[in-house]
Amino acid sequence: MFDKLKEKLVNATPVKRAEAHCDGPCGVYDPSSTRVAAEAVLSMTKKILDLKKPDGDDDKAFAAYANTLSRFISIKEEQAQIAKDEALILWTDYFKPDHLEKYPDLHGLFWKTAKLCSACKQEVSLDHAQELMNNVKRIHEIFWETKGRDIEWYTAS
Amino acid sequence: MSELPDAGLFEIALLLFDYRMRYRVEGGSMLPLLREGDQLVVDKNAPVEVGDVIIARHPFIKGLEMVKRVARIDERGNYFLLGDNPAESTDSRTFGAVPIECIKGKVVSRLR
Repeated sequence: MFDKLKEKLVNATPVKRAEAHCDGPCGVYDPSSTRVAAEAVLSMTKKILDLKKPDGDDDKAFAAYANTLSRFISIKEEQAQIAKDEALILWTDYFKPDHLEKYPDLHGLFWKTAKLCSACKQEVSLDHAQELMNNVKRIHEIFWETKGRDIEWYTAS
Repeated sequence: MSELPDAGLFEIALLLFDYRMRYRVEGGSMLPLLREGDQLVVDKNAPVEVGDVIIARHPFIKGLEMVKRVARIDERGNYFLLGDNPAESTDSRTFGAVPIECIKGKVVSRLR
């Protein structure tokens, strides 16, 4: 009964917010944006490799083929850049020196990931696209470990 | 101060008569000492020393008040603030040491 009275009295006083957040209006970070772009790179790489060039010299068929190929290449290029940008944001804005102490391979991981994004633009390499996905998975694991949350890795495709 | 006493009747009386302020913690930058939702009693007149947990106004973001710990006071008399949980904290590592005007008060106890 006394506790209830105490609670009532306390609740009658004004209360203010004491922010204990990371970055005032909290910065929202999630490695899933990197993952979606990297998945698109892998998917476009597969599609480019699977695309069959038309037989004969039908101009229309060639135009359709060239158009499709150009679109796949253009999307691969664009999504590789997005994957790189998103990874760099996590690296430079989210991760802090304390994280580096716990994960000494952090800088290497992000550096290699950025390099792989470039390699995926320059080449049509299934190996590099898959390696990029593996790195993004590792980033996902480290990121959610630092948040103390158990978020399972999944892919859209 | 690695532990925070629970507020007694006297503290609550001071709160009712406006000699103390009540704050609610949002976020995890002061873990393990303070958890999200903890309610704090703050004394705006208490002297602030190194090691104290304090409420400070963000030097650049209007209206934002933070709970941090005073890590050191520099040669100009500015307060270098850190979260107890550095991985989840934005503090003086980002916005630098803050002048005394930014310190709103010292956290003296917790309401249970």
